[in-house]
Amino acid sequence: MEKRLLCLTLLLCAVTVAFIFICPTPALLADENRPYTAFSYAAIDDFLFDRLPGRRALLTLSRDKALFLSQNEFGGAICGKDGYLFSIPQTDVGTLSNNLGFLSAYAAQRGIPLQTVLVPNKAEVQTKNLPRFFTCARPSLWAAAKGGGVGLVDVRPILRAAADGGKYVYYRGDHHLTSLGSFEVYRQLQAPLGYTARRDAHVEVLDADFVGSEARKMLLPGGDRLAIFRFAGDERIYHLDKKGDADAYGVFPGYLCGYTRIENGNARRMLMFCDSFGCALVPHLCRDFDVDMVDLRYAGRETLAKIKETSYDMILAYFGMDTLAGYELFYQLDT
Amino acid sequence: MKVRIVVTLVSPSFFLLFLPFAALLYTAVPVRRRAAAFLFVSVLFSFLAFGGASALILLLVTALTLALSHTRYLAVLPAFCALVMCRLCSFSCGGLSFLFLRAAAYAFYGERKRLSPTDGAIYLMAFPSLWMGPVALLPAFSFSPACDTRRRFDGLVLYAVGFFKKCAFADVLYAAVARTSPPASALGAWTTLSAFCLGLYFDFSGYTDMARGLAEMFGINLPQNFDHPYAARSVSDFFRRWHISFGKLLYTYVYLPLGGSRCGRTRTLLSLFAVWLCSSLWHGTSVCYLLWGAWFFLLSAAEKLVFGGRGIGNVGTLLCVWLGFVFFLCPTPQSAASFFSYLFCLGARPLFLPSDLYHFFRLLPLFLLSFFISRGGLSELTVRLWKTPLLVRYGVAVCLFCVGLCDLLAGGHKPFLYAAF
Repeated sequence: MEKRLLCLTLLLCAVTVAFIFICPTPALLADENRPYTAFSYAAIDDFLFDRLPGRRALLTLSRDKALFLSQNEFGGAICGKDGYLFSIPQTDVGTLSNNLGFLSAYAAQRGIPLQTVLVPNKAEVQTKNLPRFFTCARPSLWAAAKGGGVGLVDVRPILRAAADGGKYVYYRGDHHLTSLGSFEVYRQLQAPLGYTARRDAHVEVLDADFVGSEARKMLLPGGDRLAIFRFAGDERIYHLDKKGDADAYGVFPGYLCGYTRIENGNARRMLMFCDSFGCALVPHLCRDFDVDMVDLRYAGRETLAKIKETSYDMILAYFGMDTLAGYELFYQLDT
Repeated sequence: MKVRIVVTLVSPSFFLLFLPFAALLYTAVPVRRRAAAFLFVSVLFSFLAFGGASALILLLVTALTLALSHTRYLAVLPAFCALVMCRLCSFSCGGLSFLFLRAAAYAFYGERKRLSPTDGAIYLMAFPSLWMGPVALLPAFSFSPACDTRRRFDGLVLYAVGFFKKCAFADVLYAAVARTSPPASALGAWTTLSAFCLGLYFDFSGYTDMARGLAEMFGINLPQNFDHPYAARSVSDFFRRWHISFGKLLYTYVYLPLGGSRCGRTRTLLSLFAVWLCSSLWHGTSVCYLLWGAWFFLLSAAEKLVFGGRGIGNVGTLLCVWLGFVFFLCPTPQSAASFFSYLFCLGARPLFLPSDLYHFFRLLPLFLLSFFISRGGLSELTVRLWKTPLLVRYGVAVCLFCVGLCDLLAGGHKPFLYAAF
């Protein structure tokens, strides 16, 4: 009997390995919205794990175990109230200061007016949805941002007011602002950026079951509503062909892209340094500006050379606080 | 320079590729060739786990130790010199400190000449214990290539138990340490320390179970290394239950030769001092390890001389031991001092912050469960498990392995803490 069981174990291993190496894999690991790890000796464990049979079931078991033990967190996401999920911020004041320092030096050197918007973490706004005792107050970060000399526009009060008023400003299962949240920011920015916010757009729901990053981490189904603001001529701005993709957020311009130029025949040209938060704001802005969106996480040397050659009327830095205080990005700018 | 660990005992490349290959090779060759086959897979493992440079050092040290085995004390010199050189050059050579312990045990044991060179090489290089022990004293070491299927099967079950301990408890507790540190209040510091100490137990004892299980599968008998240390009633009792093989080695080759407790108080103190000095230097040359050794020397000395060998109770022992582990948790004396100031609210440190309450309450069930198991709460169940029918044992092992695997998949593998020594 022992011999049979040992043989069975070896057979299981052999079948698993055969499955991993032989079975074809789709382009994306759907649960995590990322490509499968390619085979290499250095990353062989990741290669094997990505293709492990029953991967999703095993991860679900791990999540259920964590939640059963009341750990309240899984895969880097925190369970809040009313279905809200929060991301775990990993930020550092020094990183934020470095980024802001490089940014202000760059704007000063080129003589272009600079405005900066840092979108707060959802946990700083949707406080009533936080789990018991959890707080995300980061006064030192915000003090550093205010003292950074980058023309900070503080959008926390309007977002808090909107959230407290029951508005759907953040997705439940994602860290991004909804289109409505981005519209609130757009309204707030009209004075600093010098335009009049337009209210002629209508809202169209593209996906009633949008699965955000935190929902993916928690292996939960979607349940968020992904909507966009529609206005005349917006087909050139949104990527509507992507609305059926695994990550529907791709309908917004500039998502996961280092450089995106949006030309709309406007008199003013804006250089917008942003992360994915910028994607939901830029459709509004491009009605008054021709915009060059640069996401420094994906931008290459060509992008940096291109923006160096172009003249701009304004620079807008629009980031989630967690991005700018979590990653060194602006050192890439040649000042 | 850091060694990049590629294959560990919990890597999928280990249990899906290396282990089946090793088991098949070992089974396929005739019994008289199994020692050579086992040595081959052990050398292969050292290259896969530690990289070329470290593996070559390990091989060279093993060869020199065996070549010098006719001289009692010279045989330990290659391992000692390699260890000192690596420490001085800050070169992290995986497995070297444990190889040094085995070389010392091999060199000092008078009957070593009875081992054939192949058995000697297996003793020094066996892949299950290559990385973090346990170190068998030579009389307890045996290698029987013709081991029966039942023994191999039991080895597999033990490996699954160790895998479960490491992935389902140690890694989850280490993740809690990362989430709660650096602490900002007394409650935060105690939460971090509890997670670290419980994680350390599951990490090391999980590794030991895996190593013992794998060794069983290849016909090697390795000693038990943990005996529910958090149930100890005195500091001496704790170290009789924690990293037992290392403690026995120090007791046999340092404490007893220096007189132990039979030659008066001064000699007892001297012997204890030597034991803790050796122990802390073996862990590393940083000041924190020396402070760790000094702390436990003081506690052991006080226990022997002031309390007359009587224990200070389970709670007192745990408190003393966990406070000692602060020196493992913190990389520098300054950070350790800061950690202590948080633990005891010194220098106007707050008692608790709301975020600490959040972590404390969310981790409390995990702490209670870990603490219950680490104190031997399931030992009766474990004893019963070994008496259950094969199929039940196999089913339990598969379940434990799957639970461990799902946590490994979700959280990623955290390195074994003792691998850094």
